[in-house]
Amino acid sequence: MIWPTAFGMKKYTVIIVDDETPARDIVKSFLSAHDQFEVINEADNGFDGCVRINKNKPDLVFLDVQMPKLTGIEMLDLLEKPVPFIIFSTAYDQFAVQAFEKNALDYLLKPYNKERFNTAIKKFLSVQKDTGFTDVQSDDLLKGLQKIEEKLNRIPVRSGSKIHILKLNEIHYIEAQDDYIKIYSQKGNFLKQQTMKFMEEHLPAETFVRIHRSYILNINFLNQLEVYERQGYTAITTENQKLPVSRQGAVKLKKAIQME
Amino acid sequence: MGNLVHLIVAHFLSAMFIMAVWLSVAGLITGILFGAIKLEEPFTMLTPVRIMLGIIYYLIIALVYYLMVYNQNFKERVENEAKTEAKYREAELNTLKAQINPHFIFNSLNSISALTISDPETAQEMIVKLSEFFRMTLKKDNAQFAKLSEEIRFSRLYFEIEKIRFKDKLEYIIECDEKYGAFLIPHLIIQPLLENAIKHGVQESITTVCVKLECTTTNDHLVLKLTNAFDSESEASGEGIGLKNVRDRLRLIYNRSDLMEVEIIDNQYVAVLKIPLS
Repeated sequence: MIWPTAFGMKKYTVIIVDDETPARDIVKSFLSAHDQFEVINEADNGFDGCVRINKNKPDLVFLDVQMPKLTGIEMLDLLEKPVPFIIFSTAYDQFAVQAFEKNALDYLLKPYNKERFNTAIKKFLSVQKDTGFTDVQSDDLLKGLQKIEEKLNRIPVRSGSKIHILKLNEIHYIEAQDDYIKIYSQKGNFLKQQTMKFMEEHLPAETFVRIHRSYILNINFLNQLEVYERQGYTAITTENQKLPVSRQGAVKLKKAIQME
Repeated sequence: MGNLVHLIVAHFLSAMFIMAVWLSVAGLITGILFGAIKLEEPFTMLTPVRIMLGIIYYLIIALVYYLMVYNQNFKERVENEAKTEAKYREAELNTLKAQINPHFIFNSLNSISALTISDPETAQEMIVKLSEFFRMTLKKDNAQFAKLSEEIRFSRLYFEIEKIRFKDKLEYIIECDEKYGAFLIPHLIIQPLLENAIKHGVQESITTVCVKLECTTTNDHLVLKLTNAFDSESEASGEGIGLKNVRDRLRLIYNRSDLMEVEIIDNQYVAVLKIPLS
């Protein structure tokens, strides 16, 4: 959204998300030299940041990577499309920096000087004139960033404008749906753009078992395992959901619940 | 190969020499004992026996010699091994010594950078604190122990620096009687615990978190206890590399594995270090 001002000049709207007050201050201070920008909101944690970005739809976001509640990386996953142009900032994340470099976004390594800040602003202005920050770019960046995460210990999801952070022990099972996964949990069911392979690799294997090409089950929610026809089993969850279990899946499942 | 030939020749020559000495000594002794009585006959008759005895004598001398050399080498090797072991332990201890988190360094510098614009006086104060902090980490680089009073000062500095970064989000209490100040504790042993409390307690929280450091003593231990509120919702609690290093370091220094305890009581993260008083 570009705001007309009293002088008839268009202003770019900006949101700053960083958990440290001095870090937000320096962005504001450096930005005050550029008349065409207006800081419309700030947040000191990822959760609020995400809600405010989705609500205010700014043109530009300054986003810190390491933050409470939700990291900058988790946030990127939850932003409504089209994702605003994001300038990341980080103090020391070598791997994140690699991901930023590859995906042609700008990032600021803390501490940075005015000159470096202005370069980032110039980059934003030049990109604005062309195509903007595309969905493909943001997806690529996200993929690059997610690779560096080792194990998941929470899954942030979005339904409409609401954001939920699912704890692993709240998740019953995960179902594949084309390019998405559907997470069935105590807090409801959520769609998320992610692959089953990623989930299988990043969830703790002792609790989450890939029982089928299309299903990952949290074994704490397994109620019964029924023989189904000749080759397969059906898993019945504590919520009485019936899930198919492949032959391979049955072997893994029995191992996980120590039947063998 | 050359060595072997050399060795055989050397042994042969010394065997010949010993043999010559032995035969003449034996001849002399027989001469003195039996005088002129049938000198020729027993001498020739006894010669093969004497040669055999000579060879055995030589072998015994050689064997004793080699045993002595072996024993000497063995002692040296054991000494060297002990030296290497000590060096290795020291190196290991040094790597285990608190490594200052790069996040802390760069975020602090970024805070200073911001403060130079908004609040130059606090910026200056923070630079001084940060310098003092780093000086303390450098000064003691080769010393394994430091006085508790110094370590407490170091902890206070760390809290003060983080307080500038996190403002009201961080509150800290240090309860440590001055009478314990002279106790020696492993240098920088508290640091990883503080870092852990900041990272998982303060940084992950959106409300004020109080971090408390207490010192007490039992009969034979100095007890350091660090408590902080901990939001178990936001992250799984595991023992990070920092805490693992503290545990390993205590084990290497004191040869005991029960000196660090970590537990979560009512959303409070409690880390306890027991330092033996020697």
